[in-house]
Amino acid sequence: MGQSIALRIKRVLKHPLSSFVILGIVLLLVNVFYRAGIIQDIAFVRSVARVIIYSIVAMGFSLLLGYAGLASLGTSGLIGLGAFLIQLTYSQKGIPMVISILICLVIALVVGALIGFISLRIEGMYLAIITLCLSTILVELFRIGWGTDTFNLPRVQTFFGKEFPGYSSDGGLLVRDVMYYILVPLFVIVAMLTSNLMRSPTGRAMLAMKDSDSAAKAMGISVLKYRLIAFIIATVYAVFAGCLYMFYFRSTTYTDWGLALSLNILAAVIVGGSKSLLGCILGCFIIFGIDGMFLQNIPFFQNNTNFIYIISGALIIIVVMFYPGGLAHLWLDLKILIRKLKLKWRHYKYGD
Amino acid sequence: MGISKKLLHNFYSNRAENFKDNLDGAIEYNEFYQEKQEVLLKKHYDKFVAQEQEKLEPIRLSSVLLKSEVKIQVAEKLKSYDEKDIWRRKANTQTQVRGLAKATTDSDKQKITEAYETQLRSLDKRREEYEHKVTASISSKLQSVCAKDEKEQKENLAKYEVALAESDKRCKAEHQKLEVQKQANIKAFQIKTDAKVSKASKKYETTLVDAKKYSASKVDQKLEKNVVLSLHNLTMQFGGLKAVDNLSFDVKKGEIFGLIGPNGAGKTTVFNCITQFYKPTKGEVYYEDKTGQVLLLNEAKVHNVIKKGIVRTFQNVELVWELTVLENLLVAAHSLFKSNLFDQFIHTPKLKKEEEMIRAKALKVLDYLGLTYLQNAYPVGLPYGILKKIELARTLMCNPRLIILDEPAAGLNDAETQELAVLIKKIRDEYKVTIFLVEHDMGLVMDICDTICAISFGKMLAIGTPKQIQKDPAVQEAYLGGE
Repeated sequence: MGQSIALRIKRVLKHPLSSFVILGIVLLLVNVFYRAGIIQDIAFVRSVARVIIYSIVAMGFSLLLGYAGLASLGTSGLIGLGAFLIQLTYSQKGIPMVISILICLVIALVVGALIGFISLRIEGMYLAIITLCLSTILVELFRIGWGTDTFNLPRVQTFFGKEFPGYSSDGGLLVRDVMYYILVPLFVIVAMLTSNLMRSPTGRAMLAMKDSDSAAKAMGISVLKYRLIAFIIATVYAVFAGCLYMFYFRSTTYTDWGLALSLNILAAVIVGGSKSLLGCILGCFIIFGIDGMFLQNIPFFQNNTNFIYIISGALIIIVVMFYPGGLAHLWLDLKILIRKLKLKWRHYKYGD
Repeated sequence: MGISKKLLHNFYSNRAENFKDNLDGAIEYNEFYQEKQEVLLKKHYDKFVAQEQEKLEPIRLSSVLLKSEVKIQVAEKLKSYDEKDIWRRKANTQTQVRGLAKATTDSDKQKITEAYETQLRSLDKRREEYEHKVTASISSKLQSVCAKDEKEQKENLAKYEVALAESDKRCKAEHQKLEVQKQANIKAFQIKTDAKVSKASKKYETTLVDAKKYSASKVDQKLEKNVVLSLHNLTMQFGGLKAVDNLSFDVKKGEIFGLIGPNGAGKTTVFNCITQFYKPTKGEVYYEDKTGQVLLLNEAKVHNVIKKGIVRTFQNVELVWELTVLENLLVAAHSLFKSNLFDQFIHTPKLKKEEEMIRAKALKVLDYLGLTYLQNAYPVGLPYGILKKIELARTLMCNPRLIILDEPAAGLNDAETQELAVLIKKIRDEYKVTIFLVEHDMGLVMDICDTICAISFGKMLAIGTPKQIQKDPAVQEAYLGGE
């Protein structure tokens, strides 16, 4: 009986979605530990939240880059679109939280479809340039519409007509905690959905399309349809992440959404491995997380705040040169290395 | 008015296609369900038999003498022990060999040999000890169970035989029960499918009538009997260059049709015009689908051509390098998937069913071509002949009626080409498809084709059986040059 339970656990762990659940539990524990006093630094929790939010963007981007083979540099503008739409709907018009997020997603659908139509004519580097232009236009619109001030979002007070859990009028930090506990499950759900999509006919069709347009067409894959799907999903994820960013960090200016963020997300996806979701999350952790989580406690990095860029730049060069599949390949390569070493040792000990 | 009519026509014909898809899907799943039931029955039955044997084991033991049973079981244990022991002995030999290679003086060599022999002796001793231990434990375990003397053994043997016969009976009864259950399941499912099919077919027919009502361009063209594909004055012009010039021919059902011509004759252009990669400048491509309806292919979109039953391969292998061989076949079956994006996000039972069914189909195709051992391999680095075979396997995935092969023998050696010729004929006969191919290898073309069409600079030179083509002066001139 005991063995059968072990077997069952093994089978559950083998399911491709189980890793995301485990990751989600670990992420939830971060805030629990902070409240329990094991983690002292609030900046640590915030960095983790930042990693989670950008991971959602990176997952959409991995579908776009790794599967559909379309490069985009307009990601940051779309995240900013989410943030500023929340500013408009939630704080200026006073629409409830859930509904304002839904409105943002619908707008994202439309925007994604528009960019998708553009992508049908243009490919490769030119597409990246066009999306970069679109993103710049969006950021400029934010500047014109909202000015150069930093915007602060009021704390969420109500949730479906009831008082938001953890809200108190004297303004404790509890609202942010509750937001964190909402953020992590959403992240896990998005990861699971994306993973499902990648392992289904759509994912395979996108890979076929990336390798050869004409072969894909001959197999009945409509290139128009799948490019649109890829762009729409990436856009919706980016805008959704923008909404979550706004509700968690509660402040933004238009300068947050420049080219640097787009490049960072591109770097995260490439470093992690553009075809692996766990790799993307790892990449986000390296690019966005390590700095705030660990390095800020070391005096050297406190004095040289920009030094992290040197590290990430070097990392990208190393990964692109030696690990075209990203860090997600590291695990596989380690396995192969261990097998080789074992074989060598066997040969040494037992002879031929 | 014209536009709205066309839109309505498109709408209804799309709907009709959807219903048709549902209908075919239901029938196909029904077949798959029957196969699945067979597998399930075997699984349950095997489990039952194993249980019965477990029950019989004590009775069997009571009918044998202790000595003989212990001998058998000890021999089994020793066999598995020896499998490990052989490695210890090998390691011992290896240390000796390495030591001797390093040793310089005779005394060193002697020491090493001594060590080797003592180790060997200790291994022998260890094996003996193990044998003693195992014999003791097994005989103590079986002492109470096994027969004491020959008289008892005889009595118990009779009992065992009776028990064996009974268990056999039980197994048979179980098998029958499972068979009945299977039949009932199949019947129930059949009724369900029939209901679905009748519903879908009714809807299909009504929508088809609607679609016909609004159809703007009626295809009045009737193909001759037994013709699948017909080109009428096909012309393809790139700027000032006429790649294909007024070409017309018919491809008959179930034949292997070869298109030949010197380099740059426009063969591949003809292919691309048929599969709508190029829209012909002039002329029509007619095609009769499985319902007997004649379609004008010029109106179809590239990615819809496969749904009509026309599949093509490419001159240079165009596989998806990032997917395994099996998944490559699943990509080729893309047009068979009916689940929408929502199904794919959630992985609903509908998608799982479809995936299971199409996976089984892909495995069958791989088995047919003898590629099952490669199902989980990535195509990168596989030999060219095998890649070509995988391309061929892909064409079989989506219920083809007309397979278009673009230079299937390019890059293959003689043995592989011969194998391919046999394979193409086999596919034609077993899948009941029409094959249309372009090829440079004259041996292959003359060997397998029923009809050959020779073109040069986009113009037809001759059409006929291989012998006629070989004798034709125009073809000879095009290939060998005129005077």
